[in-house]
Amino acid sequence: MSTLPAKYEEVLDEAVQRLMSRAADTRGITAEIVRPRVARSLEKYLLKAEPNADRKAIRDFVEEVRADDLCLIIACERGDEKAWEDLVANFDPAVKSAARKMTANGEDAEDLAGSIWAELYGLRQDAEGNKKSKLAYYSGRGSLAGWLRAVVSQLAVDEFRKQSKFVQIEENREFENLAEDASHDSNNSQVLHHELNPEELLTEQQTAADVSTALRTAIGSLEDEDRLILKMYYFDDLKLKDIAAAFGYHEATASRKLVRVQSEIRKAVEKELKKNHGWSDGEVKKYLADAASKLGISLETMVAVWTVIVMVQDFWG
Amino acid sequence: MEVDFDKEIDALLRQDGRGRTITISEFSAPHLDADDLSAFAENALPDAARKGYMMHLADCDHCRSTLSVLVMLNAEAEPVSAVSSVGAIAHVVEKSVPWYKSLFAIQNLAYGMGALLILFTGFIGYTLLQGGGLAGETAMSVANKPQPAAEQRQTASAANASANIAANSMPMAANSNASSLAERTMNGEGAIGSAGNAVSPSGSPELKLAESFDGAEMARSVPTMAPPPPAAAPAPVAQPKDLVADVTAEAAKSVRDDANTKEDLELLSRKQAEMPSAGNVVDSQAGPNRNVQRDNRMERGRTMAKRSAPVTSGTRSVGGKTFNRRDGVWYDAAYSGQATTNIRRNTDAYRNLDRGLRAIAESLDGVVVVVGGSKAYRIQ
Repeated sequence: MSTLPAKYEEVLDEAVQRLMSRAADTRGITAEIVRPRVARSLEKYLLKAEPNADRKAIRDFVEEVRADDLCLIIACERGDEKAWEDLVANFDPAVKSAARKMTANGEDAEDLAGSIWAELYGLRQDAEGNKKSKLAYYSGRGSLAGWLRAVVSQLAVDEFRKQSKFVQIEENREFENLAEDASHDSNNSQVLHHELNPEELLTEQQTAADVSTALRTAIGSLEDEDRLILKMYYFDDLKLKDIAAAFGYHEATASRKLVRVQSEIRKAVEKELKKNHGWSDGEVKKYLADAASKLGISLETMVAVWTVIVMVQDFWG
Repeated sequence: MEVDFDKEIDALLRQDGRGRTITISEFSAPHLDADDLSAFAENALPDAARKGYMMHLADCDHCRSTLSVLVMLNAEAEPVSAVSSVGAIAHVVEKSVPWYKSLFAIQNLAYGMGALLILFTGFIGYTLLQGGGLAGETAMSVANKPQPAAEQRQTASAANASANIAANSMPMAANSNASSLAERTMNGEGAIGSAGNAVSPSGSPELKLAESFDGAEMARSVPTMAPPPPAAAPAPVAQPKDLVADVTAEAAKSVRDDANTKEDLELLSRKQAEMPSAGNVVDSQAGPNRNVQRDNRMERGRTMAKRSAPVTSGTRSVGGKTFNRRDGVWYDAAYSGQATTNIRRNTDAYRNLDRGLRAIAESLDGVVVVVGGSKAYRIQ
């Protein structure tokens, strides 16, 4: 049931009428059928953050709804077979393409795509026997293809989390981090001979813990957008180009933002280490330089090996 | 694009990111659904809502990782239009890709281009080798090959050996009659080629040499000179005598260059016997005969010298004209194989020439073929 304020009813009606007039194929869907869906998305995306949005904002919001995609989805919800045929015919390639990228082989991709269509068709039922379908959650703000890819992403990530063996709490990762770093380091004396030099091992652990804390504090002090960009770049390995596209600006802008974020991180980490952990300037610089040199060596080796592999594959492939 | 990255902080963050594993998010707020994520990834949310979702995504690893996956999938998929995407996906969407960018869409372009480069280089090398081989073969096979008039002039000197034998056995009448034929040959008239290489597009050079021989051609081959009277004074006779001698010498040269079989000579002799006047004009004059013989000997000498000397080529610009040297003859670049008027230096005909043409002839040594106005002159 819509809880839309009365003052917006009239403007919403007008906007929905214009929305339907923009649709190339309404598939028999009327403005009365579409209105509740639009009202729900209006409340969710506009009025929740801006309760006193003006009429123009509401008109602009409805203007950006994708009329044909919304009518298609609503028609599918209502059991229109022709609409279902069109949906599968037009968007199955996009679903399968996304599924292929998320899975290791073609079979898993087919399974994933099939699961998605089953979810969309509502083969699952709730406790009352009603069909449960994700179609009801599509508002028409984003593209239908993008929404389907988001469904694929969610299913794939959820599945990966279930199968992952490394699910654990972040706070207890110090030892694991140390072990992982040591495994990449040819000098494994710290791990193999820790029983012989516990003082050095303890120092190493404490140093890593201090840096980790400082880093976490520094990241936490960033603005939301900066923090999100940083995590998407460093933790999710996204390209700057793709991050910029998601945020609606140029790659160069994203690059400049990241450089600024790095500068803020440096200042925050150095301040945290010196102020709260008693490090000296020299110790801070030495640790950062050591971290860079370790990564530099391993990165160079990885890049060189990867380059050779790619060239050999291209040559023999 | 990683401009001016802080490498130490970058390394620290990469290490931290690499060490992270999948975590159970401590974020207690409800996760974003597919509609939220897709609208966010496509920048299709109002600003206020977007900020709220950004705050959630910045701290919720689950939603952020799902968003990152979606961003990656969107980046690899077709671009999404602002209008409804149903029609765009149902029909073939033609991207306006510039032609030069479409070239780089070819996979393994580097290997393909390298292969093309190798093929092209091989083709050029083969062509050059073939061209060099052809130049060596012209001396032996030039008479048997149909060649355009311009190219035949370049190959005239290659058949000197057999031509000398043919010239020595040729009667004077044959020389005089053949001179017109050679003239036509040199001028590229009818189906005959140049400089002794009397060929036709379709037949053997020898037959065409005989078939195209025509007494009337002799008069046409001397466009600027009237037929000499039988009892002409020495001075006026000298001109036609010299002209005929020139033509005869050229004919001998061209015949030597062209005729490499006895059959050719026999055919030529038969034709010459049919000629009423051309040969008689020369035969009746002892002086011209001796001069012709002398010229022939001199020509043979020159030919022998040319045979022993390497063929030099060069280009010179004289009097605003460009001359290319081929087989010892300077050819005007404007010359296109038309009929030439033979003129010897230091003759009245030469002195009657345009001053500019004389200056050109004096600047260049040897035989010069120059185009003046609508006529072509062969000055030697």
